[in-house]
Amino acid sequence: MDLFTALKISSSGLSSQRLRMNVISSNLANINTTRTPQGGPYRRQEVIFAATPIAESFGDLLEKNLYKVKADSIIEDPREPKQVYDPNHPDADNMGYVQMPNINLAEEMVNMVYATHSYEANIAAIQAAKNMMLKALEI
Amino acid sequence: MQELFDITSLVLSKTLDLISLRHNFIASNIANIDTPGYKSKELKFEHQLRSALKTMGNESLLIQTHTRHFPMEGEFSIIPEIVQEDSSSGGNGNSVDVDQEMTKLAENILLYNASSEILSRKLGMLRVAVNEGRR
Repeated sequence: MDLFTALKISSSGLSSQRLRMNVISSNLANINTTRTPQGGPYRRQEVIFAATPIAESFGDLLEKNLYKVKADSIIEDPREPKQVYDPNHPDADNMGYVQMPNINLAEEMVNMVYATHSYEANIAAIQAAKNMMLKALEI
Repeated sequence: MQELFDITSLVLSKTLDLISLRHNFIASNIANIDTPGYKSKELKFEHQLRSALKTMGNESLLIQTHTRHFPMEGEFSIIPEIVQEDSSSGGNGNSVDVDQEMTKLAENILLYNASSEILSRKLGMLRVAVNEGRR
């Protein structure tokens, strides 16, 4: 077991958090989007993470307990779109209501802070592993 | 007279291995900060190391029966313990505390650097001996 394994684990964390940031950016950019290729307003998206063991076979007891992370799936938020009364909007229905995406700005900003924080934590882990390996070279 | 690679060097290099292993667990916890249902795991070995050292002091390693024989240092095995934290504070069953993990990370780095430094100072003493006291 060496520190290169730790680098792989931490880099999986980086990629996952980066994907999460992309999804958050997509949500923020489309906060007012009423038209999508599949019809209807933009649906908020969320990333679901899953831990995957680093070893293919469970030979080593220690390796069995180490997990990297991957983005398992990107799901659509099941919450219903917001109904906003705006009869002059070109996408308003016959009652005058427009279906707007169910995206809360504050919620997305908090998620963005979270993703950034997690990303930085993984960077710290990589720096630590790198410095330990360099220090060992000085023995 | 101390042997070339004596118990101190053995213990130090074993410690370095165990600290690297512990780092892998910390990295795994940090990567899975947001994974639902993931439980944080920690590697503990200090207790086992201490008891192994105690028993090594009492047991005899291979006894030199003749002055020309090399004294053999046996490999002493430590079985580290993996402790899982089951209580979760978040809503999704994840039990990783990012602040604790960062602190463990910092402690680990310091311990690694200290052990590594001691080992290289020790080998440096060897260099002084080889150079007959000159640098």
